[in-house]
Amino acid sequence: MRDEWLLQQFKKMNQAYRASAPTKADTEVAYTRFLRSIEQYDAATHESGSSQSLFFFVPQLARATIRGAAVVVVVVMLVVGTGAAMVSAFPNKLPGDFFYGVKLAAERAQVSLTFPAEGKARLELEFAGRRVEEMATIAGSSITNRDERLAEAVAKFRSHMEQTESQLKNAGRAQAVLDIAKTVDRKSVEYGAALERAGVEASGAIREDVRDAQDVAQSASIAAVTILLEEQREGRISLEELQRTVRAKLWELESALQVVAYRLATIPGDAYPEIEAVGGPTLVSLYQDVNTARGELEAGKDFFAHGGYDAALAHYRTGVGLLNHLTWATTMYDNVLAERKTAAVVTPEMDETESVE
Amino acid sequence: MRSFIQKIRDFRIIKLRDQDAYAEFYREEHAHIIQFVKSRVDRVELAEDLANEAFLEVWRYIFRERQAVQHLQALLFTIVRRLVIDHYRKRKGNEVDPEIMETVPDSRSMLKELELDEEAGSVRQVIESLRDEYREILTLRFVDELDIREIAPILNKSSGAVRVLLHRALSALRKEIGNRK
Repeated sequence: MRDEWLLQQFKKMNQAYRASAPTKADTEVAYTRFLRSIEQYDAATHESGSSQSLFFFVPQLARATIRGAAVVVVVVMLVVGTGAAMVSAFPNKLPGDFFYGVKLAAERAQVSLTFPAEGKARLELEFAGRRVEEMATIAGSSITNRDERLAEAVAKFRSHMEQTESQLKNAGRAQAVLDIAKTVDRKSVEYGAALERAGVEASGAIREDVRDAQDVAQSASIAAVTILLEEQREGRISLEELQRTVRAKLWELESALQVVAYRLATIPGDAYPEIEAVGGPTLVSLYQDVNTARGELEAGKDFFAHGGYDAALAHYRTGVGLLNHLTWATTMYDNVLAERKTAAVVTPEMDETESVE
Repeated sequence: MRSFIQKIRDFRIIKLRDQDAYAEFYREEHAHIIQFVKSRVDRVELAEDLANEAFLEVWRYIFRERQAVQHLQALLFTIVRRLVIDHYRKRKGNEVDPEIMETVPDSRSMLKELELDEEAGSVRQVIESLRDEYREILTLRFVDELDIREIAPILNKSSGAVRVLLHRALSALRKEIGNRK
Protein backbone atom coordinates (compact mmCIF):
# COMPACT_ATOMS: atom_id res chain seq x y z
CA MET A 1 0.00 0.00 0.00
CA ARG A 2 1.26 3.42 -0.86
CA ASP A 3 2.11 5.75 2.01
CA GLU A 4 0.95 8.75 -0.02
CA TRP A 5 -2.59 7.42 -0.01
CA LEU A 6 -2.48 6.87 3.72
CA LEU A 7 -1.10 10.36 4.34
CA GLN A 8 -3.92 11.76 2.24
CA GLN A 9 -6.48 10.00 4.43
CA PHE A 10 -4.79 11.34 7.55
CA LYS A 11 -4.89 14.79 6.02
CA LYS A 12 -8.63 14.48 5.41
CA MET A 13 -9.14 13.39 9.01
CA ASN A 14 -7.05 16.30 10.23
CA GLN A 15 -9.00 18.77 8.07
CA ALA A 16 -12.34 17.46 9.33
CA TYR A 17 -10.95 17.58 12.86
CA ARG A 18 -9.80 21.18 12.43
CA ALA A 19 -13.12 22.19 10.85
CA SER A 20 -14.83 21.25 14.11
CA ALA A 21 -12.39 23.37 16.18
CA PRO A 22 -13.76 26.13 18.45
CA THR A 23 -13.91 29.64 17.00
CA LYS A 24 -12.12 32.68 18.43
CA ALA A 25 -15.37 33.75 20.08
CA ASP A 26 -15.63 30.33 21.78
CA THR A 27 -12.06 30.75 23.01
CA GLU A 28 -12.86 34.18 24.48
CA VAL A 29 -15.91 32.74 26.30
CA ALA A 30 -13.74 29.92 27.62
CA TYR A 31 -11.04 32.39 28.70
CA THR A 32 -13.58 34.43 30.69
CA ARG A 33 -14.63 31.21 32.37
CA PHE A 34 -10.99 30.40 33.07
CA LEU A 35 -10.49 33.82 34.74
CA ARG A 36 -13.53 33.10 36.96
CA SER A 37 -11.98 29.75 37.89
CA ILE A 38 -8.79 31.55 38.95
CA GLU A 39 -10.79 33.94 41.16
CA GLN A 40 -12.64 31.01 42.73
CA TYR A 41 -9.37 29.17 43.30
CA ASP A 42 -7.75 32.20 44.98
CA ALA A 43 -10.84 32.83 47.11
CA ALA A 44 -10.91 29.19 48.21
CA THR A 45 -7.22 29.13 49.16
CA HIS A 46 -7.54 32.38 51.18
CA GLU A 47 -10.61 31.06 52.99
CA SER A 48 -8.85 27.85 53.90
CA GLY A 49 -6.42 30.17 55.77
CA SER A 50 -3.15 28.60 54.91
CA SER A 51 -0.71 29.03 57.80
CA GLN A 52 1.01 32.41 57.62
CA SER A 53 4.77 32.61 57.39
CA LEU A 54 6.71 33.94 60.40
CA PHE A 55 8.21 36.48 58.00
CA PHE A 56 4.84 37.70 56.69
CA PHE A 57 6.00 41.32 57.04
CA VAL A 58 8.77 40.74 54.46
CA PRO A 59 7.44 41.31 50.92
CA GLN A 60 7.23 38.23 48.68
CA LEU A 61 9.81 39.55 46.21
CA ALA A 62 12.30 40.38 48.96
CA ARG A 63 11.86 36.89 50.44
CA ALA A 64 12.62 35.31 47.07
CA THR A 65 15.72 37.49 46.74
CA ILE A 66 16.94 36.57 50.23
CA ARG A 67 16.36 32.88 49.47
CA GLY A 68 18.27 33.21 46.19
CA ALA A 69 21.15 35.02 47.90
CA ALA A 70 21.35 32.33 50.59
CA VAL A 71 21.53 29.60 47.94
CA VAL A 72 24.33 31.47 46.14
CA VAL A 73 26.34 31.85 49.37
CA VAL A 74 26.01 28.15 50.17
CA VAL A 75 27.01 27.18 46.64
CA VAL A 76 30.05 29.52 46.75
CA MET A 77 31.15 27.98 50.04
CA LEU A 78 30.73 24.48 48.68
CA VAL A 79 32.62 25.20 45.48
CA VAL A 80 35.44 27.12 47.13
CA GLY A 81 35.67 24.72 50.04
CA THR A 82 35.49 21.32 48.43
CA GLY A 83 34.12 21.24 44.89
CA ALA A 84 37.03 22.82 43.03
CA ALA A 85 39.57 20.71 44.90
CA MET A 86 37.62 17.53 44.12
CA VAL A 87 37.32 18.38 40.43
CA SER A 88 41.01 19.08 40.04
CA ALA A 89 41.66 15.79 41.80
CA PHE A 90 39.38 13.80 39.48
CA PRO A 91 39.45 15.43 36.04
CA ASN A 92 39.45 12.16 34.10
CA LYS A 93 36.57 10.44 35.82
CA LEU A 94 34.11 8.77 33.45
CA PRO A 95 30.35 8.17 33.77
CA GLY A 96 29.77 5.27 36.15
CA ASP A 97 32.92 6.07 38.18
CA PHE A 98 32.48 6.72 41.88
CA PHE A 99 33.62 10.37 41.78
CA TYR A 100 31.96 11.26 38.49
CA GLY A 101 28.99 12.74 40.36
CA VAL A 102 31.34 15.11 42.20
CA LYS A 103 32.79 16.32 38.91
CA LEU A 104 29.28 17.00 37.56
CA ALA A 105 28.16 18.73 40.76
CA ALA A 106 31.13 21.10 40.57
CA GLU A 107 30.34 21.84 36.93
CA ARG A 108 26.74 22.62 37.86
CA ALA A 109 27.91 24.93 40.63
CA GLN A 110 30.24 26.69 38.21
CA VAL A 111 27.30 27.33 35.88
CA SER A 112 25.13 28.62 38.73
CA LEU A 113 27.85 31.09 39.71
CA THR A 114 28.29 32.49 36.22
CA PHE A 115 25.81 35.28 35.64
CA PRO A 116 25.55 36.66 32.17
CA ALA A 117 23.56 34.14 30.11
CA GLU A 118 26.26 34.09 27.41
CA GLY A 119 28.79 33.00 30.06
CA LYS A 120 26.47 30.15 31.08
CA ALA A 121 26.05 29.18 27.41
CA ARG A 122 29.84 29.10 26.97
CA LEU A 123 30.28 26.87 30.02
CA GLU A 124 27.48 24.49 29.01
CA LEU A 125 29.06 24.19 25.58
CA GLU A 126 32.44 23.48 27.13
CA PHE A 127 30.93 20.78 29.36
CA ALA A 128 29.15 19.27 26.35
CA GLY A 129 32.64 19.01 24.81
CA ARG A 130 33.86 17.16 27.91
CA ARG A 131 30.99 14.68 27.55
CA VAL A 132 31.99 14.13 23.92
CA GLU A 133 35.56 13.38 25.04
CA GLU A 134 34.20 10.95 27.64
CA MET A 135 32.09 9.26 24.96
CA ALA A 136 35.14 8.84 22.73
CA THR A 137 37.17 7.36 25.61
CA ILE A 138 34.39 4.93 26.55
CA ALA A 139 33.60 3.96 22.94
CA GLY A 140 37.25 3.15 22.24
CA SER A 141 37.74 1.02 25.36
CA SER A 142 36.63 -2.36 26.69
CA ILE A 143 35.60 -0.85 30.03
CA THR A 144 32.92 -2.58 32.17
CA ASN A 145 29.28 -1.43 31.75
CA ARG A 146 30.34 0.28 28.54
CA ASP A 147 26.81 0.73 27.23
CA GLU A 148 25.44 2.19 30.46
CA ARG A 149 28.37 4.60 30.72
CA LEU A 150 27.98 5.66 27.12
CA ALA A 151 24.23 6.18 27.60
CA GLU A 152 24.89 8.40 30.62
CA ALA A 153 27.45 10.53 28.75
CA VAL A 154 25.04 10.89 25.82
CA ALA A 155 22.17 11.94 28.12
CA LYS A 156 24.37 14.51 29.87
CA PHE A 157 25.64 15.84 26.52
CA ARG A 158 22.06 16.30 25.39
CA SER A 159 21.18 18.21 28.53
CA HIS A 160 24.25 20.50 28.16
CA MET A 161 23.34 21.28 24.54
CA GLU A 162 19.71 22.02 25.49
CA GLN A 163 20.97 24.38 28.17
CA THR A 164 23.41 25.99 25.73
CA GLU A 165 20.56 26.70 23.32
CA SER A 166 18.28 27.99 26.05
CA GLN A 167 20.97 30.28 27.57
CA LEU A 168 21.91 31.58 24.14
CA LYS A 169 18.30 32.56 23.52
CA ASN A 170 18.11 34.27 26.92
CA ALA A 171 21.28 36.26 26.37
CA GLY A 172 21.11 39.92 25.46
CA ARG A 173 22.66 41.30 22.31
CA ALA A 174 26.34 42.06 22.71
CA GLN A 175 29.61 41.20 21.02
CA ALA A 176 30.12 38.38 23.52
CA VAL A 177 26.82 36.79 22.43
CA LEU A 178 27.81 37.02 18.79
CA ASP A 179 31.10 35.28 19.54
CA ILE A 180 29.43 32.53 21.50
CA ALA A 181 26.75 32.06 18.80
CA LYS A 182 29.51 31.49 16.24
CA THR A 183 31.27 29.06 18.58
CA VAL A 184 28.00 27.18 19.27
CA ASP A 185 27.39 26.81 15.53
CA ARG A 186 30.93 25.54 14.86
CA LYS A 187 31.13 23.25 17.87
CA SER A 188 27.63 21.78 17.36
CA VAL A 189 28.68 20.50 13.94
CA GLU A 190 31.93 19.16 15.39
CA TYR A 191 30.12 17.44 18.28
CA GLY A 192 27.51 16.02 15.87
CA ALA A 193 30.30 14.31 13.91
CA ALA A 194 31.89 13.00 17.13
CA LEU A 195 28.51 11.61 18.19
CA GLU A 196 28.18 9.87 14.84
CA ARG A 197 31.51 8.12 15.48
CA ALA A 198 30.48 7.15 19.03
CA GLY A 199 27.11 5.92 17.67
CA VAL A 200 28.83 3.52 15.28
CA GLU A 201 30.59 1.89 18.25
CA ALA A 202 27.45 1.78 20.38
CA SER A 203 24.81 -0.94 20.66
CA GLY A 204 21.41 -0.59 18.97
CA ALA A 205 19.54 0.84 21.98
CA ILE A 206 22.10 3.60 22.55
CA ARG A 207 22.18 4.58 18.90
CA GLU A 208 18.63 5.88 19.38
CA ASP A 209 19.85 8.12 22.20
CA VAL A 210 22.79 9.24 20.07
CA ARG A 211 20.39 10.24 17.29
CA ASP A 212 18.33 12.27 19.77
CA ALA A 213 21.47 13.98 21.02
CA GLN A 214 22.44 14.79 17.43
CA ASP A 215 18.99 16.35 16.91
CA VAL A 216 19.58 18.56 19.94
CA ALA A 217 23.07 19.59 18.74
CA GLN A 218 21.60 20.56 15.37
CA SER A 219 18.84 22.52 17.03
CA ALA A 220 21.46 24.49 19.03
CA SER A 221 23.36 25.16 15.84
CA ILE A 222 20.21 26.46 14.11
CA ALA A 223 19.43 28.70 17.10
CA ALA A 224 22.96 30.12 16.87
CA VAL A 225 22.61 30.88 13.15
CA THR A 226 19.19 32.47 13.79
CA ILE A 227 20.91 34.88 16.19
CA LEU A 228 23.52 35.72 13.55
CA LEU A 229 20.69 36.37 11.11
CA GLU A 230 19.05 38.84 13.51
CA GLU A 231 22.39 40.49 14.20
CA GLN A 232 23.02 40.94 10.50
CA ARG A 233 19.67 42.69 10.14
CA GLU A 234 20.76 45.04 12.93
CA GLY A 235 24.02 45.59 11.06
CA ARG A 236 26.23 44.12 13.78
CA ILE A 237 27.78 41.50 11.51
CA SER A 238 28.63 41.71 7.85
CA LEU A 239 26.50 40.18 5.11
CA GLU A 240 29.50 38.17 3.90
CA GLU A 241 29.89 36.51 7.26
CA LEU A 242 26.21 35.57 7.38
CA GLN A 243 26.39 34.23 3.82
CA ARG A 244 29.42 32.12 4.73
CA THR A 245 27.58 30.59 7.69
CA VAL A 246 24.33 29.81 5.84
CA ARG A 247 26.24 28.47 2.81
CA ALA A 248 28.23 26.16 5.09
CA LYS A 249 24.94 24.83 6.53
CA LEU A 250 23.58 24.07 3.06
CA TRP A 251 26.82 22.32 2.05
CA GLU A 252 26.71 20.32 5.23
CA LEU A 253 23.18 19.14 4.39
CA GLU A 254 24.12 18.36 0.79
CA SER A 255 27.07 16.16 1.70
CA ALA A 256 25.14 14.41 4.49
CA LEU A 257 22.32 13.65 2.03
CA GLN A 258 24.82 12.18 -0.42
CA VAL A 259 26.18 9.92 2.31
CA VAL A 260 22.75 8.75 3.40
CA ALA A 261 21.62 8.13 -0.20
CA TYR A 262 24.76 6.04 -0.75
CA ARG A 263 24.09 4.05 2.43
CA LEU A 264 20.52 3.39 1.29
CA ALA A 265 21.73 2.24 -2.13
CA THR A 266 24.14 -0.27 -0.58
CA ILE A 267 21.55 -1.97 1.63
CA PRO A 268 20.73 -5.42 0.20
CA GLY A 269 17.18 -5.55 -1.18
CA ASP A 270 16.19 -8.52 0.96
CA ALA A 271 16.80 -6.54 4.18
CA TYR A 272 13.80 -4.30 3.56
CA PRO A 273 11.00 -6.83 4.26
CA GLU A 274 12.77 -7.70 7.52
CA ILE A 275 12.78 -4.06 8.63
CA GLU A 276 9.21 -3.49 7.51
CA ALA A 277 8.15 -6.55 9.53
CA VAL A 278 9.34 -4.88 12.77
CA GLY A 279 7.61 -1.62 11.92
CA GLY A 280 10.49 0.11 10.12
CA PRO A 281 10.02 2.48 7.21
CA THR A 282 9.40 1.13 3.71
CA LEU A 283 11.94 1.46 0.90
CA VAL A 284 9.51 3.67 -1.04
CA SER A 285 8.97 6.04 1.89
CA LEU A 286 12.74 6.33 2.43
CA TYR A 287 13.40 7.29 -1.17
CA GLN A 288 10.49 9.72 -1.00
CA ASP A 289 12.14 11.27 2.06
CA VAL A 290 15.45 11.53 0.20
CA ASN A 291 13.71 13.33 -2.66
CA THR A 292 11.82 15.64 -0.33
CA ALA A 293 15.04 16.48 1.55
CA ARG A 294 16.76 17.20 -1.77
CA GLY A 295 13.82 19.44 -2.69
CA GLU A 296 14.24 21.33 0.58
CA LEU A 297 17.96 21.70 -0.10
CA GLU A 298 17.30 23.04 -3.60
CA ALA A 299 14.67 25.48 -2.26
CA GLY A 300 17.18 26.57 0.40
CA LYS A 301 19.82 27.17 -2.27
CA ASP A 302 17.31 29.16 -4.36
CA PHE A 303 16.40 31.41 -1.47
CA PHE A 304 20.08 31.79 -0.62
CA ALA A 305 20.86 32.89 -4.17
CA HIS A 306 18.14 35.55 -3.92
CA GLY A 307 19.14 36.81 -0.49
CA GLY A 308 16.33 35.09 1.47
CA TYR A 309 18.60 33.77 4.23
CA ASP A 310 15.91 33.17 6.83
CA ALA A 311 13.84 31.19 4.29
CA ALA A 312 17.00 29.30 3.27
CA LEU A 313 17.56 28.44 6.93
CA ALA A 314 13.92 27.30 7.32
CA HIS A 315 14.33 24.91 4.37
CA TYR A 316 17.65 23.72 5.80
CA ARG A 317 15.87 22.99 9.10
CA THR A 318 13.19 20.87 7.37
CA GLY A 319 15.86 19.12 5.30
CA VAL A 320 17.85 18.31 8.43
CA GLY A 321 14.73 16.88 10.10
CA LEU A 322 14.29 14.49 7.18
CA LEU A 323 17.97 13.71 7.12
CA ASN A 324 17.86 12.70 10.79
CA HIS A 325 14.96 10.38 10.08
CA LEU A 326 16.86 8.85 7.16
CA THR A 327 20.02 8.41 9.19
CA TRP A 328 18.00 6.74 11.92
CA ALA A 329 16.39 4.43 9.34
CA THR A 330 19.77 3.42 7.89
CA THR A 331 20.90 2.62 11.43
CA MET A 332 17.98 0.20 11.77
CA TYR A 333 19.17 -1.51 8.61
CA ASP A 334 22.72 -1.62 9.95
CA ASN A 335 21.40 -3.41 13.03
CA VAL A 336 19.59 -6.01 10.91
CA LEU A 337 22.70 -6.59 8.82
CA ALA A 338 24.85 -6.91 11.95
CA GLU A 339 22.41 -9.46 13.39
CA ARG A 340 22.58 -11.43 10.13
CA LYS A 341 26.36 -11.47 10.32
CA THR A 342 26.20 -12.86 13.87
CA ALA A 343 23.68 -15.48 12.76
CA ALA A 344 25.94 -16.42 9.82
CA VAL A 345 28.84 -17.00 12.21
CA VAL A 346 26.72 -19.10 14.59
CA THR A 347 24.98 -21.28 11.98
CA PRO A 348 28.02 -23.22 10.61
CA GLU A 349 29.03 -24.19 14.16
CA MET A 350 25.55 -25.54 14.76
CA ASP A 351 25.72 -27.56 11.54
CA GLU A 352 29.01 -29.03 12.66
CA THR A 353 27.56 -30.06 16.01
CA GLU A 354 24.61 -31.65 14.27
CA SER A 355 26.88 -33.67 11.95
CA VAL A 356 28.95 -34.88 14.94
CA GLU A 357 25.80 -36.05 16.68
CA MET B 1 8.09 22.05 16.82
CA ARG B 2 7.59 25.29 18.83
CA SER B 3 8.55 28.45 16.96
CA PHE B 4 11.12 30.90 18.28
CA ILE B 5 8.36 33.34 19.29
CA GLN B 6 6.47 30.60 21.12
CA LYS B 7 9.64 29.60 22.95
CA ILE B 8 10.19 33.21 24.02
CA ARG B 9 6.61 33.37 25.27
CA ASP B 10 7.05 30.07 27.14
CA PHE B 11 10.14 31.57 28.75
CA ARG B 12 8.13 34.66 29.85
CA ILE B 13 5.61 32.34 31.50
CA ILE B 14 7.98 29.83 33.06
CA LYS B 15 10.77 32.12 34.24
CA LEU B 16 9.21 35.59 34.51
CA ARG B 17 5.75 34.34 35.60
CA ASP B 18 4.17 36.76 33.14
CA GLN B 19 0.34 36.50 33.33
CA ASP B 20 -0.17 38.33 30.02
CA ALA B 21 2.01 35.78 28.30
CA TYR B 22 -0.13 33.04 29.85
CA ALA B 23 -3.26 34.70 28.41
CA GLU B 24 -1.60 34.60 24.95
CA PHE B 25 -0.65 30.96 25.52
CA TYR B 26 -4.24 30.16 26.53
CA ARG B 27 -5.71 31.79 23.41
CA GLU B 28 -3.28 29.97 21.16
CA GLU B 29 -3.54 26.52 22.71
CA HIS B 30 -7.27 26.51 23.59
CA ALA B 31 -8.52 25.20 20.24
CA HIS B 32 -5.74 22.65 20.10
CA ILE B 33 -6.39 21.31 23.59
CA ILE B 34 -10.17 21.23 23.08
CA GLN B 35 -9.66 19.18 19.92
CA PHE B 36 -7.26 16.90 21.76
CA VAL B 37 -9.84 16.21 24.49
CA LYS B 38 -12.76 15.99 22.06
CA SER B 39 -11.05 13.17 20.23
CA ARG B 40 -10.95 11.25 23.51
CA VAL B 41 -14.29 11.90 25.22
CA ASP B 42 -17.88 11.70 24.12
CA ARG B 43 -19.32 15.13 25.05
CA VAL B 44 -18.35 18.69 24.09
CA GLU B 45 -19.22 20.06 27.58
CA LEU B 46 -17.00 17.48 29.21
CA ALA B 47 -14.16 18.37 26.83
CA GLU B 48 -14.52 22.04 27.80
CA ASP B 49 -14.56 21.24 31.53
CA LEU B 50 -11.44 19.10 31.30
CA ALA B 51 -9.60 21.68 29.16
CA ASN B 52 -10.48 24.44 31.65
CA GLU B 53 -9.28 22.27 34.53
CA ALA B 54 -6.01 21.54 32.72
CA PHE B 55 -5.30 25.23 32.02
CA LEU B 56 -6.11 26.02 35.66
CA GLU B 57 -3.81 23.29 36.93
CA VAL B 58 -0.89 24.51 34.78
CA TRP B 59 -1.55 28.10 35.93
CA ARG B 60 -1.65 27.03 39.60
CA TYR B 61 1.54 25.02 39.14
CA ILE B 62 3.44 27.99 37.69
CA PHE B 63 1.91 31.08 39.30
CA ARG B 64 0.88 29.86 42.75
CA GLU B 65 3.15 26.93 43.54
CA ARG B 66 6.00 28.46 41.52
CA GLN B 67 7.20 25.05 40.37
CA ALA B 68 9.97 24.66 37.81
CA VAL B 69 8.59 23.73 34.40
CA GLN B 70 10.62 22.76 31.36
CA HIS B 71 8.16 22.17 28.53
CA LEU B 72 4.96 24.17 28.95
CA GLN B 73 2.96 22.67 26.10
CA ALA B 74 3.98 19.13 27.05
CA LEU B 75 2.92 19.83 30.64
CA LEU B 76 -0.51 21.00 29.47
CA PHE B 77 -1.03 17.92 27.29
CA THR B 78 0.25 15.58 30.00
CA ILE B 79 -2.16 17.08 32.54
CA VAL B 80 -5.16 16.98 30.23
CA ARG B 81 -4.34 13.41 29.25
CA ARG B 82 -4.20 12.46 32.93
CA LEU B 83 -7.53 14.24 33.56
CA VAL B 84 -9.14 12.22 30.76
CA ILE B 85 -7.75 8.99 32.22
CA ASP B 86 -9.02 10.01 35.69
CA HIS B 87 -12.44 10.72 34.20
CA TYR B 88 -12.65 7.22 32.72
CA ARG B 89 -11.35 5.71 35.93
CA LYS B 90 -14.03 7.49 38.00
CA ARG B 91 -16.68 6.39 35.54
CA LYS B 92 -15.58 2.81 36.03
CA GLY B 93 -16.36 3.17 39.76
CA ASN B 94 -12.76 3.50 40.93
CA GLU B 95 -11.91 0.16 39.39
CA VAL B 96 -8.25 0.20 38.38
CA ASP B 97 -8.04 -1.08 34.83
CA PRO B 98 -4.39 -1.52 33.78
CA GLU B 99 -5.26 -0.72 30.17
CA ILE B 100 -6.83 2.60 31.16
CA MET B 101 -3.81 3.38 33.32
CA GLU B 102 -1.57 3.14 30.28
CA THR B 103 -3.55 4.70 27.46
CA VAL B 104 -6.51 6.92 26.78
CA PRO B 105 -9.47 4.88 25.57
CA ASP B 106 -11.44 6.47 22.79
CA SER B 107 -14.01 3.84 22.00
CA ARG B 108 -16.72 6.50 22.33
CA SER B 109 -14.57 9.38 21.17
CA MET B 110 -15.83 12.27 19.09
CA LEU B 111 -13.40 11.23 16.37
CA LYS B 112 -16.38 9.12 15.28
CA GLU B 113 -18.40 12.28 14.72
CA LEU B 114 -16.07 13.63 12.03
CA GLU B 115 -17.61 13.92 8.60
CA LEU B 116 -15.32 11.91 6.37
CA ASP B 117 -15.55 10.41 2.90
CA GLU B 118 -15.58 6.65 2.39
CA GLU B 119 -11.80 6.19 2.15
CA ALA B 120 -10.86 8.28 5.19
CA GLY B 121 -13.81 6.77 7.08
CA SER B 122 -12.48 3.28 6.45
CA VAL B 123 -8.99 4.30 7.69
CA ARG B 124 -10.59 5.73 10.82
CA GLN B 125 -12.41 2.44 11.40
CA VAL B 126 -9.16 0.52 11.08
CA ILE B 127 -7.43 2.92 13.50
CA GLU B 128 -10.22 2.34 16.01
CA SER B 129 -9.69 -1.42 15.77
CA LEU B 130 -5.95 -1.16 16.61
CA ARG B 131 -4.38 -1.59 20.05
CA ASP B 132 -4.88 1.41 22.35
CA GLU B 133 -1.24 2.50 22.29
CA TYR B 134 -1.14 2.39 18.48
CA ARG B 135 -4.41 4.28 18.24
CA GLU B 136 -3.19 6.93 20.63
CA ILE B 137 0.14 7.53 18.93
CA LEU B 138 -1.46 7.72 15.47
CA THR B 139 -3.98 10.26 16.77
CA LEU B 140 -1.28 12.34 18.46
CA ARG B 141 0.96 12.35 15.40
CA PHE B 142 -1.48 12.69 12.52
CA VAL B 143 -4.71 14.10 13.92
CA ASP B 144 -3.30 16.37 16.65
CA GLU B 145 -0.25 16.97 14.42
CA LEU B 146 2.30 16.90 17.23
CA ASP B 147 5.88 16.05 16.32
CA ILE B 148 7.98 13.29 17.89
CA ARG B 149 9.70 15.58 20.38
CA GLU B 150 6.35 16.96 21.53
CA ILE B 151 4.81 13.50 21.88
CA ALA B 152 7.73 12.03 23.88
CA PRO B 153 7.11 13.88 27.18
CA ILE B 154 3.33 13.42 26.87
CA LEU B 155 3.72 9.64 26.70
CA ASN B 156 6.70 9.71 29.06
CA LYS B 157 8.90 7.93 26.51
CA SER B 158 12.17 8.80 24.78
CA SER B 159 11.99 10.22 21.24
CA GLY B 160 13.54 7.00 19.99
CA ALA B 161 10.88 4.89 21.68
CA VAL B 162 8.16 7.14 20.21
CA ARG B 163 9.63 6.75 16.71
CA VAL B 164 9.69 2.98 17.04
CA LEU B 165 6.14 2.88 18.42
CA LEU B 166 4.93 5.12 15.61
CA HIS B 167 6.51 2.93 12.96
CA ARG B 168 5.00 -0.17 14.54
CA ALA B 169 1.60 1.51 14.66
CA LEU B 170 1.88 2.52 10.99
CA SER B 171 2.98 -0.95 10.06
CA ALA B 172 0.02 -2.49 11.93
CA LEU B 173 -2.30 0.00 10.24
CA ARG B 174 -0.97 -0.82 6.77
CA LYS B 175 -1.24 -4.54 7.44
CA GLU B 176 -4.82 -4.26 8.74
CA ILE B 177 -5.88 -2.10 5.76
CA GLY B 178 -4.24 -4.64 3.43
CA ASN B 179 -6.15 -7.49 5.13
CA ARG B 180 -9.47 -5.72 4.76
CA LYS B 181 -9.00 -4.98 1.03
